[in-house]
Amino acid sequence: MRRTGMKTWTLVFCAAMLVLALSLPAAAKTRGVTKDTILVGSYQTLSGPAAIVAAVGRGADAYFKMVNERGGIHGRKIKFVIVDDQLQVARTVAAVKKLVEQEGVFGLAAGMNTNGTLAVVPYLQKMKVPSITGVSATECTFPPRKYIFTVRPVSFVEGLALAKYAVEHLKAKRIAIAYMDDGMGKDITRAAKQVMATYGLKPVAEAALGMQDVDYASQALVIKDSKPDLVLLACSFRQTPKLLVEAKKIGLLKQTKWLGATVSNTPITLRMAGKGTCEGVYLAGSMPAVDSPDPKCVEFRTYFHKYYPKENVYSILGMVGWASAQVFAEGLRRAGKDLTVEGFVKALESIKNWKGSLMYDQTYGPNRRDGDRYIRMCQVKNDKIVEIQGFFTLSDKEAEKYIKH
Amino acid sequence: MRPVFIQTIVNGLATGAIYALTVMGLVMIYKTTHVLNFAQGEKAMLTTFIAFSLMATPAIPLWAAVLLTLVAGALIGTFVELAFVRHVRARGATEGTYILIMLGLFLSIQGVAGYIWGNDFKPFPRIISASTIKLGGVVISLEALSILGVTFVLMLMLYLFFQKTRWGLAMRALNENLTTALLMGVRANRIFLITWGIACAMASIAGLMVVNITYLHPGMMLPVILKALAGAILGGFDSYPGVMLGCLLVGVMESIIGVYISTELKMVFAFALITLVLIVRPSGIMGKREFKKV
Repeated sequence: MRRTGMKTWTLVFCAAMLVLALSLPAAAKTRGVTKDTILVGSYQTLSGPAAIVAAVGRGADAYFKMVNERGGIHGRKIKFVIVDDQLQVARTVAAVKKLVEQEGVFGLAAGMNTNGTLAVVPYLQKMKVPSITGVSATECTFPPRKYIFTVRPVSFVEGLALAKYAVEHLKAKRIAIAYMDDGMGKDITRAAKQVMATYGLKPVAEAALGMQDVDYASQALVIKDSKPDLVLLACSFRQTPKLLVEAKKIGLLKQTKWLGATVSNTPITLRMAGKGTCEGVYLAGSMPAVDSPDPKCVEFRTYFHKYYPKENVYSILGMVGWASAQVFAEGLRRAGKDLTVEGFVKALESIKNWKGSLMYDQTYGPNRRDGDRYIRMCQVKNDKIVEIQGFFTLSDKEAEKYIKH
Repeated sequence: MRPVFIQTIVNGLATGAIYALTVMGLVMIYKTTHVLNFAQGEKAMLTTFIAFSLMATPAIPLWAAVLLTLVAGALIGTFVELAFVRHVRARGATEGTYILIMLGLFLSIQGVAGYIWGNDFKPFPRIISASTIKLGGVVISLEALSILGVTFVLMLMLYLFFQKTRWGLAMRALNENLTTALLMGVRANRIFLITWGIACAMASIAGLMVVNITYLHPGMMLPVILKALAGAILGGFDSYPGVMLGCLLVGVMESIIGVYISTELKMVFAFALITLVLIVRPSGIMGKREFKKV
């Protein structure tokens, strides 16, 4: 009887030890991280009419491949999985759930679909999945959420900087705003109007540039009728050339100054508008020029071409993806070998005035999730985008004041 | 009248002409075969990409590239009819089957174009001069005049084709009553093939015109075809002058609302107005009212 009892207790003890042994590594294990790999995911527009944006994912992929080629991070290689969301919110949600629940990714990098990104924020927060996005939508990082970061200047900050530049440097008094009919365009407009109000100015016209508009003839007419001395273009390389072409037709182009947002700062804008059309147009930028001789840009072009030889190397979208991956990798480096989600977030928060990415400056903190607040100013001269003023910014205090307002 | 108002109307007419040009081939196919060819815009996009490649070949002069593009359009049309539409028609396809096939083609053509030529925006070599004419305070671009001109000429040619040729008569007969037309000796398969060929060649012309306003990329025809369809429904799907009128009205309405009410609401207002018109007259402004015997 006693022997049987002993045997039972021995069995119970062994079973308990086995459970403990199995549960210990499970407790210490971080989702998506193994001894030699880190699984990172991304949702990208790989197909459909907006598939041009897929260059963002390819840029990130090229960077991770380069990192792996150089030995990985703390002995781990990065496995990068991309799921197609076709720029549809429902598909982004499904893609992110698949990445987290089926693939078991550690985090997400280079997400670019604004509406989709906003839709998955609560889920990522709940599941504690860090996401380093390339979106510029203000509400993505304002108010700051623990696991959501962006490497680009958010639209609101860009709007503040653009309006300040228009009034102070270009001495504009009658500003018309042409804005892309989406969150980004409206954010820039809202911020610009706030800054203008502090100088006692109001936009003389506001023209929405619809995504489904075949041409922008009526918008050009509305702007011309308002007799502006500057047109602030709160829109992307898809809208800017179309509007400039229409402005040229009705003789508006040379009557006023034009100041474009960062998403128009690409040779595509010039090519689409046609030779000479963009001459004199001011364009803001958040990164060096796509054809810059800066070694960081050369590195991007070299590896982007190596892994995606069919892609255009002068790709601002590819650069955004590359920069997101750079920040992600920097977080991994700073987090150390014992990688956890919380450690990664803390590591990202420790990034201050870091100039190692394609972005000018990356700064995060416990209450800051937008990495870059710098804008540089360029102008089109002889059909080339030339930098006319280096990176400038609003002071943190100034930016916070407007954001709170 | 203020020059701004006249300019608004002129801009609207030019945009409306683009819609009319795009949808005309679609209406032609529908009138003859009762197939709603959703992929008409994508065929226009595909042939424009073909034109882009042809124009990049130094040995091919511009006129030859344009001509070859029309031939390519006709060939694509006949291929679609032979490879897909004819087969399912022989098996007694329903309207739903055709819709699915056309949606499939729509997505496939977009995917294939993106795969071959890439999804980025490409500038298209100008085939119409960018110059403008100034009349009083109104500026009219040569592009707009060309599009309006081409649309009117094509519409006239279509009218003559349907009224004065045997093929046109056969197409009208097939539209009226398929069984009777077959009993009267109309070779339906041949006529359907010709219809698809002509309609897709027209799509090529539309693509070449539209690309001057938009840019070359796989999604270039999507905003155009949506509004073009709305214009065709507004004007009356079974009447070519009606389709033309409907499309011009959509263009002008968009333009007026954009300039005088709100650029943000121009599409909403335009479509709300179309809905109102259709409530009053479901067959469209110039469409024939259908009556069924009980």
